[in-house]
Amino acid sequence: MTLAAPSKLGSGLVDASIDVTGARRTYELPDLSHLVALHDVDLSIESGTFVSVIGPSGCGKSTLLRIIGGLEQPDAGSVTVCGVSPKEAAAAKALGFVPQTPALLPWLTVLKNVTLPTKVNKRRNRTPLPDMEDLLRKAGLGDAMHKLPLQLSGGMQQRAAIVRAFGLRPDVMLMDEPFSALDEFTREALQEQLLDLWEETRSTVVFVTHSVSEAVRLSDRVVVMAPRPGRIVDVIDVDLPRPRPAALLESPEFHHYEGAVRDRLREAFEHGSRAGAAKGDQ
Amino acid sequence: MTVIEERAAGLGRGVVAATTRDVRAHRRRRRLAFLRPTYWAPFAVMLVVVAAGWHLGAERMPYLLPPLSDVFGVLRDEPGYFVENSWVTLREALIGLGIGFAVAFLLAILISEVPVARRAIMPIAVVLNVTPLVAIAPALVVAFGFGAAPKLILTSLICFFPILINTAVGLRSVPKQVLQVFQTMDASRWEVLRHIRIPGSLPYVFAALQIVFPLSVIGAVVAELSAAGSSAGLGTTIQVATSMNRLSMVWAAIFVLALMGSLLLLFATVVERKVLHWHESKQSDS
Repeated sequence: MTLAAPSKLGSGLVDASIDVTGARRTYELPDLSHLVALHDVDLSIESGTFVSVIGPSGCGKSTLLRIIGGLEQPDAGSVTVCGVSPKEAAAAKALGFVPQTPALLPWLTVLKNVTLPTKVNKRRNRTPLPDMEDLLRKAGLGDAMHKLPLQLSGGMQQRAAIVRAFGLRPDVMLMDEPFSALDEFTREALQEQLLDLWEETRSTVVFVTHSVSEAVRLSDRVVVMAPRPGRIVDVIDVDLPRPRPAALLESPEFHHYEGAVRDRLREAFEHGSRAGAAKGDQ
Repeated sequence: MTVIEERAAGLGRGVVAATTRDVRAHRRRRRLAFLRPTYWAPFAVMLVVVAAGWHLGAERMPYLLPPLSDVFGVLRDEPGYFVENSWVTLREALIGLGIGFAVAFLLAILISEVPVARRAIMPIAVVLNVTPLVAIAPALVVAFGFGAAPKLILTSLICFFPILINTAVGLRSVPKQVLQVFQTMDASRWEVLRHIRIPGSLPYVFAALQIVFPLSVIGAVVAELSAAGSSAGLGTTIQVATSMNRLSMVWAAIFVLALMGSLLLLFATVVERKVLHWHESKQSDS
């Protein structure tokens, strides 16, 4: 089975890039003060790159992801995904979304769960339909195919959720801390599988995480964000060869990038809390 | 697949086979559990105590309680009569339940999909629920006569509210992240309803059915009691027998009603277990 990216995107859209310009999102809190989740954020992501967004809680990384996915509207600024609005990209089935919890339907077997996306918004399905059984087997879920989600471990459930999203052959994959609830060992195994899947589809990935090593291992670029107000402080290119096996995690180059990301995070955090104290919460 | 992975997969299969065997043995033990005295003895003892109490009571106050033997005597002498009248009451209960269920289910979907409809429908539903329906029964009989209509209306009214509330809550119980996943695929409202909301509401719907199956019998009997001229039904039997002071007949009808309610509840439970085998509350094997 080949999953090589076609010259034209499966969704019929031109180019799987993402452009965010001047995005602002403010939440009103119960005490009527405002929390600036995103403060004039600019970000452009080229087609086919794997980008991680990292930052402390409350820096707006999940908000950014939801805005790209059309799950939330920015108060100001514009977002285009594959050259169109997020809503239109969703309508073209160009998006895949993996939330923090597996979000599987407990009454469907794993196989039925991962094929359900082909039963909604059918007109825009890819042809031919992907072989989900094969994809599940590749993800190590061959024996679990006909089991219910409740009968699986958390790691296997999250794997099924990832297969569900990749099964759509999305041009853009949005992942919101998908591994944050898993133990270290499962996490690393799943990172490897995610990279394997991605090597085949080469879709554009936006991966929100709060783990530095995860960000460095997975990504071509790491976007570092800071809170109060939520903003991007740096974009670090990770120039490590692919594929990136587990052994890479111990190499000096890897540590170099980890250190760089960690430094930027610390700076941003210290600066952010000082600015927050001086200005008050806007 | 590498050699190691293959070996791991093979090991995995072995583990799966072993656990299946365990599960089967476990199920067999569970199926035979009712044979153990700890399972049936408490109920049997309780049954004997109640029967003995009844017997003592009936001996001292024959004008209040008929002897149990008389009650079963009535059942034995006229089984056809009881089957016929039970069927009348059961039919009223089930048709009324069916109507109540259909209306409540559709309104629950409307409420959950259209917030404005909620504000229109809920106040009326709540008022209906707090009004003692026993008090409405005579008025319904006056309006609709002695036929089946007032019985079906009362039964469906009684069943309406629990189904409406539970289904509405169930339809809204879908986790936000599931909805977000399907929103990014541009699933239509109907697709979300059909594939996610309605199946997700089933545990709530079945909880309502467990309440409502026995309630439907109450509705039918109350309506029959209020319609003094009804031709049939166990409620009518009770009323006629009371006026003729045939206590054993009254109690025989009560026993049959209790049996009917229990069987309906059992039916609801069995169907629930079959349909909701996926639900956490039914995962007894692990």
